[in-house]
Amino acid sequence: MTARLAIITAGLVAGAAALAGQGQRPSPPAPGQTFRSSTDVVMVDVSVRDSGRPVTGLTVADFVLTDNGVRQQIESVEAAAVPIDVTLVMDVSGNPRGPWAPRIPPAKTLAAVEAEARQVTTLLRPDDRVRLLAIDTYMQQLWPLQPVAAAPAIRRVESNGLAALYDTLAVALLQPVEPARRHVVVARTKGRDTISAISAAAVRAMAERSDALFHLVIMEQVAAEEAMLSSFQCTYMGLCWPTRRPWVPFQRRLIGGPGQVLSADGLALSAAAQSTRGDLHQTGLLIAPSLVSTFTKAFDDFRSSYVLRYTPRGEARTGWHAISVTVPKFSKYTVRARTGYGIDDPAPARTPPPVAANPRTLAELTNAFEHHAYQAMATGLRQVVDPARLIREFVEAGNPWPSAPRREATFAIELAEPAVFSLRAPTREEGDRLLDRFSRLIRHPLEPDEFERAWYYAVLTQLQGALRPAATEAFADRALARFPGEPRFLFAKAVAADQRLGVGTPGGGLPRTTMLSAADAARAQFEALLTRPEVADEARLRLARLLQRLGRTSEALAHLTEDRLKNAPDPVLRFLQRLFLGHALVTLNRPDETIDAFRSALSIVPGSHSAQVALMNTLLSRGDRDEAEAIAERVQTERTTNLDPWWMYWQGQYRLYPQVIAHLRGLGQ
Amino acid sequence: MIRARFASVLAVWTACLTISAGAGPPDPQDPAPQATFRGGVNAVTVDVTVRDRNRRAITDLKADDFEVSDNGVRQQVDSVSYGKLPIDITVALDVSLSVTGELLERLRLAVVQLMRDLGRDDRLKLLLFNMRASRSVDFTNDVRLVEKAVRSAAAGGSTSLLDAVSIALVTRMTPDRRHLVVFFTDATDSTSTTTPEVLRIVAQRTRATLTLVIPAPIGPVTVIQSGGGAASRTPTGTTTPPTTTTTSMTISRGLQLTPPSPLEPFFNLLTRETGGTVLRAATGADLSATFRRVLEDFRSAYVLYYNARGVDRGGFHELEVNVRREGATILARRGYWN
Repeated sequence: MTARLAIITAGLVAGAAALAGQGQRPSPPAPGQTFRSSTDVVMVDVSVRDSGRPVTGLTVADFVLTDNGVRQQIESVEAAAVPIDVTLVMDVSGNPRGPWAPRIPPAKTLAAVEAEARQVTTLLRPDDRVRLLAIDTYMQQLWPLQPVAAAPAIRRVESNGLAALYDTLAVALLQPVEPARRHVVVARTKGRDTISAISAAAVRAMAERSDALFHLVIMEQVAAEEAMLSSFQCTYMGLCWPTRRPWVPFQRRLIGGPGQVLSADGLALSAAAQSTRGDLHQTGLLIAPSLVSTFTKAFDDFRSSYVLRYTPRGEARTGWHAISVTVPKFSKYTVRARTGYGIDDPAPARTPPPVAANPRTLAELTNAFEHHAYQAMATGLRQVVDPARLIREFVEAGNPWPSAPRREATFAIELAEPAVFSLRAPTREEGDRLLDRFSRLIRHPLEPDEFERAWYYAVLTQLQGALRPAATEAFADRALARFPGEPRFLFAKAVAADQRLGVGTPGGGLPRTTMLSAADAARAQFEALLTRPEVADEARLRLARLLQRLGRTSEALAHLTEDRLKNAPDPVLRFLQRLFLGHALVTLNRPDETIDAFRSALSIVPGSHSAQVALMNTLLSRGDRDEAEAIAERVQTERTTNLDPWWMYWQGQYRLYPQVIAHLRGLGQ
Repeated sequence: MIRARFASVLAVWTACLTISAGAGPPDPQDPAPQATFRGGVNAVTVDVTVRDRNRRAITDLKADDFEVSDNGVRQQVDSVSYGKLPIDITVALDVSLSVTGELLERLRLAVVQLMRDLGRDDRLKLLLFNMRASRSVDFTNDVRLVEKAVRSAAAGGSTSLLDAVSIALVTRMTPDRRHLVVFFTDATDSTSTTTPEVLRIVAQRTRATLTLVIPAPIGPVTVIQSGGGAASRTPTGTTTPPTTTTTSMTISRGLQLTPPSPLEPFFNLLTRETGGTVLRAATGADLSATFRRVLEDFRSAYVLYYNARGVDRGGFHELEVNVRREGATILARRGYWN
């Protein structure tokens, strides 16, 4: 018995329906037809059973659906088996009064949790995915969401602590669901919460707005019996074990009193489950509840449900929408669907202040960012006199968009840039502190996600641009701890090692041993990246340049003439390959080939200052004075604002920063 | 300070470098602006600065007083002129991030003053550079035009100093004029594609005299850098540069300077290749005076003319210039390239 609802914008409708793959497909949009984002589509999961058996073969004409009492036109009914995402939640917390209860060894808990979870996975299909969470003092993710077959062995689980039940349920229910998938949450708890930040009522509110089907199994009775037995032993038999806890936490119990009735919190969670068309399951006396059996029941129902799709008509958009679904022709059928859904009131419209031409104060910059006036923002940031003060104001003021922490994290990177590039060490440190702070705030509670990856990438490109090798390495290490082996982060480390050598002649001003050590480090890191397709071309290019700077021209030449690099998709890399090739050939006294290389570079980036100067020098050396003088005349009279790729070479991947930060802004919205 | 200048003349250059046709060597005291000299296919001109022990210019020398060797072969100096040829000065200002604020403003004032110090037929060109070298004003003697351009210069960007020097040296010169290139820079470089080795080759193949003025951030000190051997040579000077690039500094008033840029030894060598020098000027000092001194040093040079005989025309020609005057020090270009 399941139901599922999704409010999706019209832009997603076609995709969702197409992904369903079967049943009634929506007609393709007619030429010129446009979708409006205000046209929401509602999809409702409906379970129909006859004497406990699923009923199949029903069509649009068989269902009647009302939304706040207004009958709706059902646009499609699909009975396809949609892949599902399963979130299993297991309570491994300890007994808060547990001096009498010997602690279960963690290894035993781990084995039991894994065995039960794997039993559930045997019921799933290959295209289903599973996530495993554990409740203890902190929520733990034992398996991130992943295909069933990929679930790894669980290496460690923290147990016997406090119970963050409500927090963990909230995390499970708030997971986004892809339009073409369904989400099932099956949680098993010992029936009490001792540390969560949120309440059971909050969990209920989240469940009502969640797309997940939620089942909750309470094993409170087992714990209660244990408590009663121990209390009797202590009071009447004198068998009181010394307490292990000097402090007994406040307990919010789901079941209260001798009658094993649901407490207020238990009722709230029961309502939460039922609002999703799931249920709350209590176990019998001294019988351990079965997560597997609960899941099996929910799973069968879920698989055999229909998905009704309609566009609400005749109703106000916002507020609570009560749904009723019936099958009038077959009154004996049991029809289960979600009871309704809620749409929050949109924030009242306010007239935004105009974006300043040169926003420099925090308020002006915030406003510019909010209105996507990024160019104006960049202009204003360049004129900020005291970037450190701006950052302090930002930190003290708090998030300008409280409901959008990712937006704030993106904004933080942009605000940090003038400080990161500052010539003053205290200002740079202020920028570093801001980035450090947000590197902790952006961590997704379950697993590293795409936003965090993009955020780190933006920070690393910025730090490379500022020629800050130490800071780049520090952040790269932190990013790699979250995303082990991520080639772009490894590449940032390699660039930092290269930057440590300084520009121009390697190691200028460094002791020779330090220089050689830094050169070896940079070389090894670039070489290791030659097998990583994402960064192999640029790693090869930079390796060649490093070798050339170290006087190993022949080795550099071998890399620079490698076909893949010569034909790299990135024109900047192709340009630099030819420029560096020319430099190497100069060293080898091959002027004609040198000139060809520089001319080829100019064919890729016409007007490049560096390639023109290099060509001018070579022509003069070869005796072509007239052409050399003509180039000298041209380069000093050209009026262009084009950036020469060579000018940004030492800044690593900073040339990509505009795209990287734009991508992050999109993710942060 | 001593300085020198040379120009080599290939056959194809001959017409350009043969100064206006005339008879006989010029009188060193003749104030006429045009030198007269009849050149041949191997005509060579060499700028030579001669000073006494007190660094005062010696101005009464004649052709017979000079001894010139071209690749070790003694040459006959056909004529000598002194202070007659008009001057073209290229002033290149570093407008990268490293030269900003008050220093940039003082620099603006100094360039304007330099413009006012030019002779009637002299001209000045303004080149601004950071990672890019841009000609702000072409050769002119219009003070207001230059002043306006300097005042509108905006600072920013990275520094391609070696590229800018190369561009300034390679730029085509007007044949009947002497050419001085003055760079005002902190001598740091971050984005040049030109290497020191390549720039040295470029300097050997071009004619202009290069001088660098490097601001020193501490104290009202004007420092003149000179090569190790040149100042001590008596009785006759030599143009042979010091064998080492190690810089010996004469620091007046005993104030300590900030450490030199890693490129300074190279620039000491390079400027001497062209007959120029490196000056360190304290930011608190009068930059106008420094620039005026650069101009006066360049102006107070002899130009020697000779037709190279007994040497192969092609390749690098090493020059040695001596003068028959006790206590004199001279500075001339180290050689030229045919």
